[in-house]
Amino acid sequence: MRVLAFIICAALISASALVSISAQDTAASAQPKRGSIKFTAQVEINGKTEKLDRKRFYLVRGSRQQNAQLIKKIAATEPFSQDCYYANLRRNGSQVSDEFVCWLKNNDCESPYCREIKTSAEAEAVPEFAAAYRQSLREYKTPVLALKWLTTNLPANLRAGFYDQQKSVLRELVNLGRVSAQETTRAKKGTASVGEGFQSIMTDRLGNAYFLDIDVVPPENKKTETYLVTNLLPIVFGDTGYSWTCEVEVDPAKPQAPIVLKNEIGKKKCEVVTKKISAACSLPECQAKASKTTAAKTND
Amino acid sequence: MNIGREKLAKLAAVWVFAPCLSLIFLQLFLPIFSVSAASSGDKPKTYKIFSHNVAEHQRQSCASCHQSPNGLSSAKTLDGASYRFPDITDYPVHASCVDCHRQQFFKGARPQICAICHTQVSPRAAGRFAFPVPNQASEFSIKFPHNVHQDIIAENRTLQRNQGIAVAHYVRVKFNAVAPDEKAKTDYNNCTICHAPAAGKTFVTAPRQPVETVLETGIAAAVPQHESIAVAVGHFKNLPSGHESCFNCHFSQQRPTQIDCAGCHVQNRLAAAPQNFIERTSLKFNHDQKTETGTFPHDRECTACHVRITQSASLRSLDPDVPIFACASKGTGCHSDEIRLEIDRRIEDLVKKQANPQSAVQTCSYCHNTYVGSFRVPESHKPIKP
Repeated sequence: MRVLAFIICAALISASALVSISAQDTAASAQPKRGSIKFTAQVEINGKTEKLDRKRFYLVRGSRQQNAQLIKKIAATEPFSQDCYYANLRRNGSQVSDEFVCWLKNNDCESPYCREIKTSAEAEAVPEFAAAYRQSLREYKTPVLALKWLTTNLPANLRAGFYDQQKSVLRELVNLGRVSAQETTRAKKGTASVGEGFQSIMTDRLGNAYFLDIDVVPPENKKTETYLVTNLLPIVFGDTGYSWTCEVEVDPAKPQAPIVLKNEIGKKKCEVVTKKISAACSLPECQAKASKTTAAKTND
Repeated sequence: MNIGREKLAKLAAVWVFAPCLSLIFLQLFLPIFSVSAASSGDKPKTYKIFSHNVAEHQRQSCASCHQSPNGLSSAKTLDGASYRFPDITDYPVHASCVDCHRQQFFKGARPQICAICHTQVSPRAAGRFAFPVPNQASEFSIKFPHNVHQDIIAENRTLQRNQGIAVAHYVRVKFNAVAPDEKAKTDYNNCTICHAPAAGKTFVTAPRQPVETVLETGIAAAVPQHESIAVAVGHFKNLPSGHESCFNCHFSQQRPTQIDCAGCHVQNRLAAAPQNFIERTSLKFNHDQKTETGTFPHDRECTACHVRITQSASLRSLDPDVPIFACASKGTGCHSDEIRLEIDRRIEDLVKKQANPQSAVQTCSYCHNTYVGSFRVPESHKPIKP
């Protein structure tokens, strides 16, 4: 009797395993196909093309119509430049020296994290760095470490204040974009395993970037699925902010031809909103660097 | 023996379904039971090994035991210069433990609890093991928003590039020695502030068991154990392994600071398995390769090949994988000819093997070792055009 029980038991377990495997196969075959997008972001100013490098772009599932609320919000977002941030700080009574603002501009930096201060002379040339350096010397004792860890004693609003302010605006747009993409995904009936429909990527130094592994579940009578490529937060270049909301058809069967995001006005499926930066943001002009900072002696 | 229908049903219930259900139940839940038994500390406590996972320890704040800083550690700049920085370099002091473990501290002449930190089990011996204990699996994993750090150091404005001032960040990330003409250029922070060449480390290829696979034409083939590949210094990039790469910004004000341990260290529910391995598909790629003419061909910025790296918010979803098109796409790839040739030869060999089963099939060895190169060519590699 026990032998019979084990035979039946083994049969039952085998059957359940088979059911489980076939269910996995079905799930695997129901997975959506995937496509990719390569794009280049650039602006044309006075006939000259400038690549938009190190800029974050987002991919949102759905067409412009499906993401109408998001697009409205993007168009309403005012561009905010680094100059605006420091001009506001000054208006609100914070001490921001011309030397600090010009160090950022001359070094092409958006925060002091972009590169190390290599010498005490360089630190002493900017009042904010000088104060942080002296404090670091008191804390860390050695000049080498005081320079390496100089940012740990900079005021918070100078360390990452501009980034944090941008992030607070961006967070709202990202949440809206994510919800918008999820709604489009939910509307796709019968495809349980489609992804979130929201990605972000940063362009490289040539302004190029890829969105990969994009789930494609085309509607009936269509081989492609529509996605939206956008930068959400206006990219400030010169005195103008640019916001793109461009429809892209993703085809899983063939690689997508590279897309170029330009500042061309009047395109139906690829809109770019341009806005001038407020005149109240202007800060004093900076003189170009007198000498290369890294060429200075490092005998600290 | 005449068995009634009712009795047969009862027997069936007892002898067939009960063992079946038990077996299925055990099959499903045995791993959970074994895990919870291990973690709930059913074994008698020996006080020889310390665990953060003990409930009593989890109720304490990190700072109740770990003083930060309590010593100085050494680090090196990218140029090789040494410097010292404040760090957590040693075990907590006795007072952190003795309140709860007084009984174990004063148990006999050789208290076993001493063996957790001390090299000799004796109240008079002061020598301690290295801290943190080398080669011991950490009970913590790291929480690190990779994209936030990329954004904050990568942003730059192109406005002044044409005036010869700006050097775009991430550009020429110094996989290799800095060329003399570059020394005068501004040294921007980039990937290398955390991912330096893995100097001073030795790498070995993990053994693989030979397996069977089915190739493109349906032919079964054996995948051999791979050959050992010598890995030079600079072949790989390091991961940050100490506090220095975080403390340089996060020591005192930028949160999480040196005392917000949980800002970066997330306690694993179970002890983590040691992760002293790197999963690398194209093992032959050398970041630090040098040509015969002394140039470094792999000097493009990191994101030119690691195209997915800027999309992830956490370490868990971080994907450093380099898609084949970064190496071999028309226009941007440098290795299209070699890879196409290899794939074509392999396809030719497979056709020959159909006619003659003894005929050999080319393995893909330009990028891969023999193990990886013996499997079916993935779909992603097939559109490569010369």
